[in-house]
Amino acid sequence: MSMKPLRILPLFLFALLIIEVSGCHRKTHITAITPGTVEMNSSVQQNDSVISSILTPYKTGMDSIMNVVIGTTTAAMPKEREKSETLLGNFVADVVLNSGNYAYTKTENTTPAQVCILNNGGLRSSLPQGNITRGNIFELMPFENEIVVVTISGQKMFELLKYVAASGGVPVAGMKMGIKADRTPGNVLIQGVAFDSTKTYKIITSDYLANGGDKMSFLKDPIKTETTGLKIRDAIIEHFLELTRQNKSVTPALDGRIYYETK
Amino acid sequence: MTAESIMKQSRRDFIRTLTGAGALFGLGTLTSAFRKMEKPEEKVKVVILHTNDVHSHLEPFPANDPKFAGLGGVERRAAMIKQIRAQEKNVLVLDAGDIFQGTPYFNMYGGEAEIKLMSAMGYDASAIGNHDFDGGLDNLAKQMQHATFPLLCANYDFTGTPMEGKTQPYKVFVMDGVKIGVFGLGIEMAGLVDSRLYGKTVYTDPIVKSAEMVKELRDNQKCDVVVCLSHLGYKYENDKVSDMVLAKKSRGIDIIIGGHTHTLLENPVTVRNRENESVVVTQVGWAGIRLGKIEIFTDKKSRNKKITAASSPIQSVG
Repeated sequence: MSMKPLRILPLFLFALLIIEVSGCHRKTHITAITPGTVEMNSSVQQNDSVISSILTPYKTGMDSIMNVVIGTTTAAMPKEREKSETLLGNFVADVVLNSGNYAYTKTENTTPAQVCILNNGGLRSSLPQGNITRGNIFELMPFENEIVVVTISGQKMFELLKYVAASGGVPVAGMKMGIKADRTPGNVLIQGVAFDSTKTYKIITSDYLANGGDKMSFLKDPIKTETTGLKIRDAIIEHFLELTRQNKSVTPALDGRIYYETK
Repeated sequence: MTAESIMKQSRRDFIRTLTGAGALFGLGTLTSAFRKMEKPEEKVKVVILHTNDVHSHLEPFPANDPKFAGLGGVERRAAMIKQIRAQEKNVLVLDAGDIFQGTPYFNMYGGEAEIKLMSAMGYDASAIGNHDFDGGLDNLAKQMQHATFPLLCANYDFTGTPMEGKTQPYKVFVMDGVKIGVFGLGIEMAGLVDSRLYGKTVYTDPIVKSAEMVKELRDNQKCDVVVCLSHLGYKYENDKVSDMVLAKKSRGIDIIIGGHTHTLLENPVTVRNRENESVVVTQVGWAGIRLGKIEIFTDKKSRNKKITAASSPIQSVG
């Protein structure tokens, strides 16, 4: 049996491998890119047993808690942007101002916050008309954000007003404000009283925004920050439950709290 | 020569023969594998399927949803991905981040269901979104134990955090010899994410990092196609860095698959980069209401790059 070919063969193959590996990657070229989308609507069948076997245990556990109806609405509240005020924004801001103040003023000699400010980005989903489940509120407000009260100077309050005007409207409560054509603050009433830059103001908001979220720099370095221990989501759920106990629905409404001033 | 030594000798020969045959077989397979990998087929079609900002929407929107009634859901998406994989040879499935936060699935299970389902659907890679920090870095690291796909992020430094070593800047996919380099970009956390959630994570300039990635993917990895999987956002009124800003300032990126702003581009936008080459920028809304589908055609001979997408009205859907 001759050994030589077998001794040479690995060397030969190794050389071949080196040639193969070091040889340039022969480039190819893109000739066309055709982007598109497929809508995930009811025409796409849903019958994947592997997927449903993974999902089902989670879903069963979740539904038992989240599908419970906690109240009703008289109108849908769609998640909308680029509007001076929205049904959803007004509703949530009112709940945060009222329920937040209820929790906040439990301490003796505490005066309530005057203004609530929130951000559109923080309202994550629409609310339908009719029955509202606990899950609906988790989708609207999935975050664990807590309600806090921030005391700020009149100058910083003016920065807040400029922010609201420049953004074209964010969820607020406790104030009424006109926006001029150049997107600066016009006529402003705080709790029905004209804005006064020499006074201090108590702002009720989320800890996320108080900690610098959404570039609300006027909430930074405040005179005082106080916690309420109440989560925004829990405040909304409790509001629905309380109205249900009174046999009432949530009735969303626009009230012109932020409007564009016309000449 | 004793009988024993003869046996030893022949055993040695036998082993040597085996080794030779093994080398022949092994190297042969290896070289053919390399040949297959390194040389693209004449004409290749690659399909990239993509989602962004799914935000824990594992089920379709309920029938009473004012805007997206009946749309979305993982079972439907899985079925569509499976159907396209059956029709097409070369399919990549990518997500541009914000997998987490938006339904009680996340509040109750921390994202475990989301990651397990994406793995089962055969996702190939994902970017990291700002809301993927919402359970903290410990939670993200914990949930990624269930992932069969990598998290791609070139511009976050997780050194000294629970996410250290659990991400990679890019991944190269080879399909019919065509090399597709995909790199990930994350948005600046300051002012967007609670600092307690992202901890010591360091953000670096995505424009600078993108240039480094393109150099690595084009020059060293010899990629034919470069895809950026971004959670920067489509575009802003101010000068904040976005997919549109990146596209204009970039070179060597073919496609930017975006997220964060929940922008639904009916037809993706084509932007001219700094070398006047076209870059496709796309994003498919949020919550899995649509599946993006990009078809890429390559040819070894032709150099004419045609992008059939036309720009169209842009809407923010959620």
